[in-house]
Amino acid sequence: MHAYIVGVCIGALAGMLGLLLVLRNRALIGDGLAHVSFGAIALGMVMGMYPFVVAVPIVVLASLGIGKLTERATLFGDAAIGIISATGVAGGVLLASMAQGFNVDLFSYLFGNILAVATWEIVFAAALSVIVAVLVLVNYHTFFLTTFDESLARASGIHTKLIEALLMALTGIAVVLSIKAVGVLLVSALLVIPAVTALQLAKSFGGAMTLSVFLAISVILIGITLSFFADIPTGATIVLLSVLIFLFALVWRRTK
Amino acid sequence: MQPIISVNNLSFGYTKTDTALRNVSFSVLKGSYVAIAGPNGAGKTTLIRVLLGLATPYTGDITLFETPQTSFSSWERIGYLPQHTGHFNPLFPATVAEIVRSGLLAEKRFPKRYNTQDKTRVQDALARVGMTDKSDTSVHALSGGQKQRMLLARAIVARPDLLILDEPSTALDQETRSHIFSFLKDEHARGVTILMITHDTAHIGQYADTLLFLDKKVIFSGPFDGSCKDDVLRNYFGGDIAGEHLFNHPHTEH
Repeated sequence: MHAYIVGVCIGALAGMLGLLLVLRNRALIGDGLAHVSFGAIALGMVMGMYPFVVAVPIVVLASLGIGKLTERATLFGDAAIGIISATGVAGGVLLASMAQGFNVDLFSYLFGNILAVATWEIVFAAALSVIVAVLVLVNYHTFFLTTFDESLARASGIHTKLIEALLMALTGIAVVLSIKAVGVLLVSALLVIPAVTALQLAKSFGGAMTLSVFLAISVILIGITLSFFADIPTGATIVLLSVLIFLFALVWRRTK
Repeated sequence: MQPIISVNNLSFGYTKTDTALRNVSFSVLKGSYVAIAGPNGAGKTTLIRVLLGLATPYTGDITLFETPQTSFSSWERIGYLPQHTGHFNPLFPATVAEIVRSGLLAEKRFPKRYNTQDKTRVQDALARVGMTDKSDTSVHALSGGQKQRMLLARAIVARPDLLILDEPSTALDQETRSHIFSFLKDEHARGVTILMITHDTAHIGQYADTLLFLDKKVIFSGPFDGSCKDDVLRNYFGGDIAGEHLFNHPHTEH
Protein backbone atom coordinates (compact mmCIF):
# COMPACT_ATOMS: atom_id res chain seq x y z
CA MET A 1 0.00 0.00 0.00
CA HIS A 2 2.90 2.37 0.81
CA ALA A 3 4.32 1.89 -2.67
CA TYR A 4 0.95 2.63 -4.30
CA ILE A 5 0.55 5.91 -2.39
CA VAL A 6 4.04 7.08 -3.34
CA GLY A 7 3.39 5.87 -6.88
CA VAL A 8 0.28 8.03 -7.24
CA CYS A 9 2.19 11.08 -5.93
CA ILE A 10 5.13 10.57 -8.28
CA GLY A 11 2.90 9.75 -11.25
CA ALA A 12 0.89 12.95 -10.84
CA LEU A 13 4.02 15.11 -10.71
CA ALA A 14 5.80 13.34 -13.56
CA GLY A 15 2.71 13.55 -15.76
CA MET A 16 2.16 17.27 -15.19
CA LEU A 17 5.75 18.47 -15.34
CA GLY A 18 6.82 16.03 -18.05
CA LEU A 19 4.28 17.46 -20.48
CA LEU A 20 5.51 21.01 -19.91
CA LEU A 21 9.16 19.96 -20.29
CA VAL A 22 8.56 18.01 -23.50
CA LEU A 23 6.63 20.90 -25.07
CA ARG A 24 9.44 23.28 -24.13
CA ASN A 25 12.12 21.02 -25.66
CA ARG A 26 13.51 20.35 -22.18
CA ALA A 27 12.81 16.61 -22.17
CA LEU A 28 16.35 15.68 -21.18
CA ILE A 29 16.51 17.93 -18.16
CA GLY A 30 15.10 15.08 -16.04
CA ASP A 31 18.07 12.95 -17.02
CA GLY A 32 20.55 15.67 -16.08
CA LEU A 33 18.88 16.35 -12.73
CA ALA A 34 18.73 12.64 -11.93
CA HIS A 35 22.50 12.50 -12.30
CA VAL A 36 22.84 15.48 -10.00
CA SER A 37 20.61 13.60 -7.53
CA PHE A 38 23.14 10.76 -7.54
CA GLY A 39 25.84 13.09 -6.25
CA ALA A 40 23.46 14.78 -3.80
CA ILE A 41 22.30 11.42 -2.38
CA ALA A 42 25.95 10.41 -1.91
CA LEU A 43 26.55 13.67 -0.05
CA GLY A 44 23.54 13.00 2.16
CA MET A 45 24.95 9.58 3.04
CA VAL A 46 28.37 11.03 3.85
CA MET A 47 26.68 13.56 6.12
CA GLY A 48 24.69 10.78 7.78
CA MET A 49 21.37 12.38 6.85
CA TYR A 50 18.35 11.02 4.99
CA PRO A 51 19.62 11.35 1.37
CA PHE A 52 16.44 12.87 -0.10
CA VAL A 53 16.42 15.69 2.44
CA VAL A 54 19.87 16.72 1.20
CA ALA A 55 19.07 15.95 -2.45
CA VAL A 56 15.94 18.15 -2.76
CA PRO A 57 17.63 21.54 -2.17
CA ILE A 58 20.75 20.60 -4.15
CA VAL A 59 18.78 19.37 -7.16
CA VAL A 60 16.47 22.40 -7.05
CA LEU A 61 19.55 24.66 -7.11
CA ALA A 62 21.01 22.61 -9.97
CA SER A 63 17.74 22.91 -11.92
CA LEU A 64 17.82 26.69 -11.51
CA GLY A 65 21.47 26.65 -12.59
CA ILE A 66 20.62 24.72 -15.75
CA GLY A 67 17.82 27.18 -16.48
CA LYS A 68 20.16 30.12 -16.03
CA LEU A 69 22.90 28.63 -18.20
CA THR A 70 20.45 27.63 -20.90
CA GLU A 71 19.25 31.24 -21.15
CA ARG A 72 22.66 31.97 -22.64
CA ALA A 73 21.86 29.69 -25.56
CA THR A 74 24.72 30.97 -27.71
CA LEU A 75 27.20 30.08 -24.99
CA PHE A 76 25.90 26.80 -23.63
CA GLY A 77 22.68 25.47 -25.23
CA ASP A 78 22.02 21.85 -24.20
CA ALA A 79 25.59 21.67 -22.91
CA ALA A 80 24.34 23.25 -19.66
CA ILE A 81 22.53 19.99 -18.83
CA GLY A 82 25.68 18.00 -19.68
CA ILE A 83 27.94 20.16 -17.53
CA ILE A 84 25.75 20.05 -14.43
CA SER A 85 24.79 16.38 -14.74
CA ALA A 86 28.43 15.32 -15.22
CA THR A 87 29.38 17.33 -12.15
CA GLY A 88 26.72 15.48 -10.14
CA VAL A 89 27.83 12.02 -11.24
CA ALA A 90 31.53 12.80 -10.77
CA GLY A 91 30.82 14.15 -7.29
CA GLY A 92 28.79 11.05 -6.41
CA VAL A 93 31.48 8.65 -7.64
CA LEU A 94 34.17 10.55 -5.77
CA LEU A 95 32.19 10.53 -2.51
CA ALA A 96 31.41 6.84 -2.95
CA SER A 97 35.07 5.96 -3.41
CA MET A 98 36.05 8.03 -0.37
CA ALA A 99 33.48 6.37 1.91
CA GLN A 100 33.31 2.81 0.70
CA GLY A 101 30.92 1.72 3.42
CA PHE A 102 27.82 3.02 1.72
CA ASN A 103 28.59 1.94 -1.86
CA VAL A 104 25.89 -0.73 -1.88
CA ASP A 105 23.24 1.66 -0.55
CA LEU A 106 24.22 4.37 -3.01
CA PHE A 107 24.10 2.10 -6.02
CA SER A 108 20.65 0.86 -5.03
CA TYR A 109 19.45 4.36 -5.89
CA LEU A 110 20.53 3.84 -9.49
CA PHE A 111 17.59 1.49 -10.04
CA GLY A 112 15.15 2.53 -7.29
CA ASN A 113 13.06 0.38 -5.01
CA ILE A 114 9.57 1.67 -4.42
CA LEU A 115 8.52 -1.55 -2.65
CA ALA A 116 10.85 -0.72 0.25
CA VAL A 117 9.37 2.61 1.22
CA ALA A 118 8.97 3.62 4.87
CA THR A 119 5.90 5.32 6.37
CA TRP A 120 7.65 8.61 6.98
CA GLU A 121 8.92 8.56 3.38
CA ILE A 122 5.29 8.50 2.28
CA VAL A 123 4.59 11.59 4.35
CA PHE A 124 7.67 13.30 2.89
CA ALA A 125 6.71 12.40 -0.69
CA ALA A 126 3.04 13.24 -0.25
CA ALA A 127 3.74 16.64 1.33
CA LEU A 128 6.14 17.66 -1.42
CA SER A 129 3.81 16.28 -4.10
CA VAL A 130 0.88 18.32 -2.82
CA ILE A 131 3.00 21.50 -2.80
CA VAL A 132 4.25 20.88 -6.35
CA ALA A 133 0.80 19.93 -7.66
CA VAL A 134 -0.83 23.02 -6.14
CA LEU A 135 1.85 25.29 -7.63
CA VAL A 136 1.40 23.71 -11.07
CA LEU A 137 -2.39 23.96 -10.95
CA VAL A 138 -2.40 27.54 -9.64
CA ASN A 139 -0.09 28.53 -12.53
CA TYR A 140 -1.72 26.21 -15.07
CA HIS A 141 -2.92 28.92 -17.49
CA THR A 142 0.34 30.83 -17.19
CA PHE A 143 2.31 27.66 -17.96
CA PHE A 144 0.02 27.10 -20.95
CA LEU A 145 0.69 30.50 -22.52
CA THR A 146 4.42 30.64 -21.77
CA THR A 147 4.80 27.17 -23.29
CA PHE A 148 2.70 28.01 -26.37
CA ASP A 149 4.43 31.31 -27.19
CA GLU A 150 6.82 33.16 -24.90
CA SER A 151 6.42 36.49 -26.73
CA LEU A 152 2.64 36.43 -26.36
CA ALA A 153 3.08 35.60 -22.68
CA ARG A 154 5.48 38.48 -22.10
CA ALA A 155 3.19 40.85 -24.01
CA SER A 156 0.47 39.74 -21.58
CA GLY A 157 2.56 40.96 -18.66
CA ILE A 158 3.70 37.50 -17.56
CA HIS A 159 7.15 37.28 -15.97
CA THR A 160 8.30 34.38 -18.13
CA LYS A 161 11.72 33.99 -16.50
CA LEU A 162 10.09 33.55 -13.11
CA ILE A 163 7.72 30.93 -14.53
CA GLU A 164 10.65 29.10 -16.15
CA ALA A 165 12.55 29.13 -12.83
CA LEU A 166 9.46 27.80 -11.04
CA LEU A 167 9.13 24.96 -13.56
CA MET A 168 12.79 24.07 -13.18
CA ALA A 169 12.59 24.06 -9.37
CA LEU A 170 9.42 21.92 -9.36
CA THR A 171 11.08 19.51 -11.80
CA GLY A 172 14.01 19.20 -9.42
CA ILE A 173 11.66 18.12 -6.61
CA ALA A 174 9.78 15.69 -8.87
CA VAL A 175 13.04 14.09 -10.06
CA VAL A 176 14.27 13.46 -6.51
CA LEU A 177 10.95 11.89 -5.53
CA SER A 178 10.83 9.77 -8.70
CA ILE A 179 14.22 8.22 -7.99
CA LYS A 180 12.60 6.11 -5.29
CA ALA A 181 10.32 4.56 -7.93
CA VAL A 182 12.50 4.05 -10.98
CA GLY A 183 16.03 5.04 -9.95
CA VAL A 184 18.52 7.57 -11.25
CA LEU A 185 19.03 5.82 -14.58
CA LEU A 186 15.37 5.67 -15.58
CA VAL A 187 13.84 8.76 -14.01
CA SER A 188 13.78 10.81 -17.21
CA ALA A 189 11.71 8.07 -18.86
CA LEU A 190 8.96 8.65 -16.31
CA LEU A 191 8.93 12.35 -17.16
CA VAL A 192 9.10 11.93 -20.92
CA ILE A 193 7.21 8.80 -22.02
CA PRO A 194 3.73 9.38 -20.50
CA ALA A 195 3.86 12.97 -21.76
CA VAL A 196 4.86 11.99 -25.29
CA THR A 197 2.19 9.27 -25.29
CA ALA A 198 -0.46 11.79 -24.24
CA LEU A 199 0.65 14.09 -27.07
CA GLN A 200 -0.10 11.31 -29.56
CA LEU A 201 -3.69 11.07 -28.36
CA ALA A 202 -4.91 14.45 -27.10
CA LYS A 203 -6.02 17.44 -29.17
CA SER A 204 -6.25 19.97 -26.33
CA PHE A 205 -3.70 21.09 -23.75
CA GLY A 206 -6.08 20.26 -20.90
CA GLY A 207 -6.69 16.82 -22.39
CA ALA A 208 -2.96 16.17 -22.82
CA MET A 209 -2.24 17.20 -19.22
CA THR A 210 -5.00 14.96 -17.83
CA LEU A 211 -3.97 12.02 -19.99
CA SER A 212 -0.27 12.43 -19.18
CA VAL A 213 -1.04 12.32 -15.43
CA PHE A 214 -3.41 9.36 -15.86
CA LEU A 215 -0.84 7.38 -17.89
CA ALA A 216 2.03 8.12 -15.49
CA ILE A 217 0.00 7.01 -12.46
CA SER A 218 -1.33 3.95 -14.30
CA VAL A 219 2.06 2.65 -15.43
CA ILE A 220 3.49 3.09 -11.95
CA LEU A 221 0.60 1.27 -10.24
CA ILE A 222 0.51 -1.53 -12.83
CA GLY A 223 4.32 -1.74 -12.79
CA ILE A 224 4.40 -2.08 -9.00
CA THR A 225 1.80 -4.86 -9.14
CA LEU A 226 3.49 -6.74 -11.98
CA SER A 227 6.94 -6.50 -10.44
CA PHE A 228 5.66 -7.67 -7.05
CA PHE A 229 3.96 -10.80 -8.40
CA ALA A 230 6.55 -11.62 -11.07
CA ASP A 231 9.48 -10.75 -8.78
CA ILE A 232 11.12 -8.50 -11.34
CA PRO A 233 12.70 -5.01 -10.95
CA THR A 234 10.00 -2.36 -10.43
CA GLY A 235 11.68 0.57 -12.18
CA ALA A 236 12.47 -1.35 -15.33
CA THR A 237 8.92 -2.80 -15.41
CA ILE A 238 7.38 0.67 -15.13
CA VAL A 239 9.55 2.09 -17.92
CA LEU A 240 9.05 -0.83 -20.32
CA LEU A 241 5.30 -0.69 -19.69
CA SER A 242 5.38 3.03 -20.56
CA VAL A 243 7.27 2.31 -23.78
CA LEU A 244 4.73 -0.40 -24.71
CA ILE A 245 1.80 1.99 -24.25
CA PHE A 246 3.65 4.67 -26.20
CA LEU A 247 4.12 2.28 -29.12
CA PHE A 248 0.41 1.38 -29.05
CA ALA A 249 -0.47 5.07 -29.08
CA LEU A 250 1.92 5.70 -31.96
CA VAL A 251 0.43 2.89 -34.04
CA TRP A 252 -3.12 3.97 -33.15
CA ARG A 253 -2.42 7.50 -34.28
CA ARG A 254 -0.80 6.39 -37.53
CA THR A 255 -3.73 4.14 -38.40
CA LYS A 256 -6.42 6.63 -37.38
CA MET B 1 -6.34 64.15 -28.67
CA GLN B 2 -4.19 62.30 -26.14
CA PRO B 3 -1.29 60.13 -27.31
CA ILE B 4 -1.71 56.44 -26.48
CA ILE B 5 1.91 55.79 -27.39
CA SER B 6 4.64 58.35 -27.08
CA VAL B 7 8.21 57.55 -28.15
CA ASN B 8 11.11 59.98 -27.73
CA ASN B 9 14.66 59.48 -28.99
CA LEU B 10 14.40 55.71 -28.90
CA SER B 11 17.55 53.82 -29.89
CA PHE B 12 18.02 50.08 -29.74
CA GLY B 13 20.56 47.50 -30.92
CA TYR B 14 20.63 43.72 -30.61
CA THR B 15 24.39 43.92 -30.02
CA LYS B 16 26.63 46.73 -28.80
CA THR B 17 27.76 47.53 -32.33
CA ASP B 18 24.38 47.12 -34.05
CA THR B 19 21.81 49.89 -34.32
CA ALA B 20 18.39 48.54 -35.24
CA LEU B 21 16.65 51.80 -34.29
CA ARG B 22 18.22 55.26 -34.09
CA ASN B 23 16.66 58.26 -32.33
CA VAL B 24 13.10 57.26 -33.19
CA SER B 25 10.39 59.68 -32.04
CA PHE B 26 6.67 59.58 -32.80
CA SER B 27 3.25 59.57 -31.16
CA VAL B 28 0.16 57.47 -31.74
CA LEU B 29 -3.02 59.37 -31.00
CA LYS B 30 -6.09 57.78 -29.50
CA GLY B 31 -8.43 56.52 -32.22
CA SER B 32 -5.85 56.72 -35.00
CA TYR B 33 -5.00 54.00 -37.50
CA VAL B 34 -1.24 54.00 -37.97
CA ALA B 35 0.54 52.02 -40.67
CA ILE B 36 4.23 51.32 -40.14
CA ALA B 37 6.03 50.80 -43.43
CA GLY B 38 9.62 50.56 -44.54
CA PRO B 39 12.06 48.25 -46.32
CA ASN B 40 13.13 44.86 -44.97
CA GLY B 41 15.46 45.29 -42.00
CA ALA B 42 14.16 48.79 -41.31
CA GLY B 43 13.45 47.96 -37.66
CA LYS B 44 9.63 47.77 -37.89
CA THR B 45 9.24 44.53 -35.94
CA THR B 46 12.02 45.59 -33.58
CA LEU B 47 10.13 48.80 -32.84
CA ILE B 48 7.00 46.85 -31.90
CA ARG B 49 9.01 44.41 -29.77
CA VAL B 50 10.65 47.29 -27.93
CA LEU B 51 7.27 48.96 -27.38
CA LEU B 52 5.92 45.75 -25.84
CA GLY B 53 8.97 45.19 -23.65
CA LEU B 54 10.05 42.13 -25.64
CA ALA B 55 13.38 43.65 -26.69
CA THR B 56 15.55 45.36 -24.09
CA PRO B 57 17.50 47.36 -23.06
CA TYR B 58 16.92 50.56 -25.04
CA THR B 59 17.71 54.21 -24.62
CA GLY B 60 15.09 56.94 -24.84
CA ASP B 61 11.57 57.21 -23.45
CA ILE B 62 8.47 55.16 -24.19
CA THR B 63 5.10 56.00 -22.69
CA LEU B 64 2.09 53.70 -23.02
CA PHE B 65 -1.27 55.13 -21.96
CA GLU B 66 0.56 57.96 -20.19
CA THR B 67 2.61 55.49 -18.12
CA PRO B 68 6.35 54.86 -18.61
CA GLN B 69 6.68 51.54 -20.41
CA THR B 70 8.99 50.13 -17.73
CA SER B 71 6.26 50.45 -15.10
CA PHE B 72 3.28 49.79 -17.41
CA SER B 73 1.11 46.92 -16.18
CA SER B 74 -2.26 47.28 -17.96
CA TRP B 75 -1.32 44.88 -20.73
CA GLU B 76 -4.97 43.88 -21.19
CA ARG B 77 -5.41 47.28 -22.89
CA ILE B 78 -3.12 46.12 -25.71
CA GLY B 79 -4.00 43.34 -28.13
CA TYR B 80 -0.95 41.94 -29.94
CA LEU B 81 -0.70 39.87 -33.09
CA PRO B 82 2.93 38.84 -33.71
CA GLN B 83 4.61 38.10 -37.02
CA HIS B 84 4.64 34.62 -38.61
CA THR B 85 2.08 33.27 -36.21
CA GLY B 86 1.20 30.34 -38.48
CA HIS B 87 4.26 28.38 -37.40
CA PHE B 88 3.10 26.63 -34.24
CA ASN B 89 5.05 23.96 -32.42
CA PRO B 90 3.68 20.90 -34.25
CA LEU B 91 3.61 18.99 -30.95
CA PHE B 92 1.64 21.57 -29.01
CA PRO B 93 -1.90 20.31 -28.39
CA ALA B 94 -4.41 23.14 -28.18
CA THR B 95 -7.92 23.91 -29.28
CA VAL B 96 -8.94 27.21 -30.81
CA ALA B 97 -10.84 28.14 -27.63
CA GLU B 98 -7.77 27.49 -25.43
CA ILE B 99 -5.62 29.82 -27.54
CA VAL B 100 -8.24 32.59 -27.78
CA ARG B 101 -8.98 32.36 -24.05
CA SER B 102 -5.30 32.99 -23.26
CA GLY B 103 -5.87 36.54 -24.52
CA LEU B 104 -7.77 37.18 -21.28
CA LEU B 105 -4.83 36.23 -19.07
CA ALA B 106 -3.40 39.77 -18.97
CA GLU B 107 -6.43 41.07 -17.08
CA LYS B 108 -6.41 38.28 -14.50
CA ARG B 109 -4.77 38.71 -11.13
CA PHE B 110 -3.11 35.90 -9.18
CA PRO B 111 -4.29 33.17 -9.11
CA LYS B 112 -5.13 33.63 -12.77
CA ARG B 113 -8.38 31.71 -13.27
CA TYR B 114 -11.06 31.99 -15.95
CA ASN B 115 -14.75 32.34 -15.07
CA THR B 116 -17.95 31.30 -16.81
CA GLN B 117 -18.35 34.70 -18.51
CA ASP B 118 -14.97 34.24 -20.19
CA LYS B 119 -16.39 31.37 -22.23
CA THR B 120 -19.00 33.74 -23.66
CA ARG B 121 -16.31 36.33 -24.39
CA VAL B 122 -14.27 33.73 -26.29
CA GLN B 123 -17.33 32.74 -28.34
CA ASP B 124 -18.04 36.39 -29.04
CA ALA B 125 -14.46 37.00 -30.24
CA LEU B 126 -14.61 33.91 -32.46
CA ALA B 127 -17.93 35.08 -33.91
CA ARG B 128 -16.40 38.43 -34.76
CA VAL B 129 -13.68 36.79 -36.86
CA GLY B 130 -16.14 34.31 -38.41
CA MET B 131 -14.96 31.19 -36.58
CA THR B 132 -17.91 30.39 -34.32
CA ASP B 133 -17.92 26.70 -35.22
CA LYS B 134 -14.16 26.21 -34.69
CA SER B 135 -14.07 26.58 -30.90
CA ASP B 136 -13.17 22.94 -30.16
CA THR B 137 -11.06 22.39 -33.26
CA SER B 138 -7.37 21.53 -32.87
CA VAL B 139 -5.15 24.42 -33.99
CA HIS B 140 -3.28 22.00 -36.23
CA ALA B 141 -6.43 21.37 -38.26
CA LEU B 142 -6.66 25.04 -39.26
CA SER B 143 -5.48 26.64 -42.50
CA GLY B 144 -2.96 29.51 -42.39
CA GLY B 145 -5.74 32.07 -42.76
CA GLN B 146 -7.82 30.46 -40.01
CA LYS B 147 -4.82 30.46 -37.67
CA GLN B 148 -4.34 34.16 -38.33
CA ARG B 149 -8.03 34.86 -37.63
CA MET B 150 -7.85 32.78 -34.45
CA LEU B 151 -4.90 34.85 -33.22
CA LEU B 152 -6.77 38.00 -34.19
CA ALA B 153 -9.65 36.76 -32.02
CA ARG B 154 -7.10 36.23 -29.23
CA ALA B 155 -5.84 39.79 -29.68
CA ILE B 156 -9.33 41.32 -29.41
CA VAL B 157 -10.98 39.00 -26.86
CA ALA B 158 -10.19 41.33 -23.93
CA ARG B 159 -11.60 44.30 -25.91
CA PRO B 160 -8.29 46.22 -25.89
CA ASP B 161 -7.99 49.95 -26.55
CA LEU B 162 -4.96 49.44 -28.76
CA LEU B 163 -4.25 46.74 -31.34
CA ILE B 164 -0.63 46.16 -32.39
CA LEU B 165 -0.35 43.97 -35.46
CA ASP B 166 2.84 42.78 -37.15
CA GLU B 167 2.11 42.10 -40.81
CA PRO B 168 -1.30 40.51 -40.28
CA SER B 169 -1.92 39.88 -43.98
CA THR B 170 1.40 38.33 -45.02
CA ALA B 171 1.14 35.00 -46.87
CA LEU B 172 -2.66 35.03 -46.81
CA ASP B 173 -5.03 34.60 -49.74
CA GLN B 174 -6.95 37.61 -51.02
CA GLU B 175 -10.23 36.60 -49.37
CA THR B 176 -8.69 36.21 -45.89
CA ARG B 177 -6.74 39.43 -46.33
CA SER B 178 -9.93 41.33 -47.22
CA HIS B 179 -11.71 39.76 -44.26
CA ILE B 180 -8.95 40.85 -41.85
CA PHE B 181 -8.80 44.42 -43.17
CA SER B 182 -12.58 44.72 -43.10
CA PHE B 183 -12.55 43.45 -39.53
CA LEU B 184 -9.86 45.96 -38.52
CA LYS B 185 -11.88 48.73 -40.17
CA ASP B 186 -14.84 47.82 -37.94
CA GLU B 187 -12.62 47.74 -34.83
CA HIS B 188 -11.24 51.16 -35.73
CA ALA B 189 -14.79 52.47 -36.20
CA ARG B 190 -15.53 51.24 -32.65
CA GLY B 191 -12.77 53.50 -31.36
CA VAL B 192 -9.90 51.01 -31.17
CA THR B 193 -6.50 52.52 -31.98
CA ILE B 194 -4.54 50.46 -34.49
CA LEU B 195 -0.78 50.28 -35.03
CA MET B 196 0.07 47.93 -37.86
CA ILE B 197 3.20 46.93 -39.74
CA THR B 198 2.47 46.24 -43.37
CA HIS B 199 4.27 45.53 -46.61
CA ASP B 200 1.01 46.02 -48.47
CA THR B 201 2.03 49.54 -49.46
CA ALA B 202 -0.13 49.55 -52.57
CA HIS B 203 -3.31 49.55 -50.48
CA ILE B 204 -2.00 51.00 -47.24
CA GLY B 205 -3.91 54.26 -47.57
CA GLN B 206 -7.28 52.56 -47.94
CA TYR B 207 -7.40 51.92 -44.23
CA ALA B 208 -4.68 53.84 -42.36
CA ASP B 209 -4.96 57.55 -41.59
CA THR B 210 -1.38 57.95 -40.36
CA LEU B 211 1.92 56.73 -41.79
CA LEU B 212 5.13 56.00 -39.94
CA PHE B 213 7.83 55.24 -42.49
CA LEU B 214 10.94 53.73 -40.95
CA ASP B 215 14.41 52.87 -42.11
CA LYS B 216 16.15 52.42 -38.75
CA LYS B 217 15.14 56.03 -38.13
CA VAL B 218 11.89 57.82 -38.84
CA ILE B 219 11.78 58.90 -42.49
CA PHE B 220 8.21 60.19 -42.25
CA SER B 221 5.64 60.41 -39.50
CA GLY B 222 2.34 62.16 -40.00
CA PRO B 223 -1.05 62.10 -41.70
CA PHE B 224 -1.22 59.78 -44.66
CA ASP B 225 -2.58 62.51 -46.88
CA GLY B 226 0.55 64.56 -46.35
CA SER B 227 3.01 61.78 -47.09
CA CYS B 228 3.05 62.13 -50.88
CA LYS B 229 3.93 65.80 -50.62
CA ASP B 230 6.71 65.22 -48.12
CA ASP B 231 10.07 66.10 -49.64
CA VAL B 232 12.11 63.84 -47.37
CA LEU B 233 10.00 60.82 -48.24
CA ARG B 234 10.04 61.69 -51.96
CA ASN B 235 13.82 62.03 -51.84
CA TYR B 236 14.06 58.73 -49.98
CA PHE B 237 12.31 57.02 -52.89
CA GLY B 238 14.38 58.93 -55.43
CA GLY B 239 11.48 60.93 -56.82
CA ASP B 240 7.82 60.46 -57.65
CA ILE B 241 8.02 57.38 -59.82
CA ALA B 242 9.85 55.09 -57.43
CA GLY B 243 7.56 55.96 -54.58
CA GLU B 244 4.34 56.08 -56.55
CA HIS B 245 3.07 52.74 -55.28
CA LEU B 246 3.11 54.04 -51.72
CA PHE B 247 0.66 56.80 -52.47
CA ASN B 248 -1.91 54.79 -54.37
CA HIS B 249 -4.75 55.35 -51.96
CA PRO B 250 -8.08 57.21 -51.91
CA HIS B 251 -7.07 59.69 -49.19
CA THR B 252 -4.45 61.29 -51.39
CA GLU B 253 -4.98 63.85 -54.10
CA HIS B 254 -2.15 63.45 -56.58
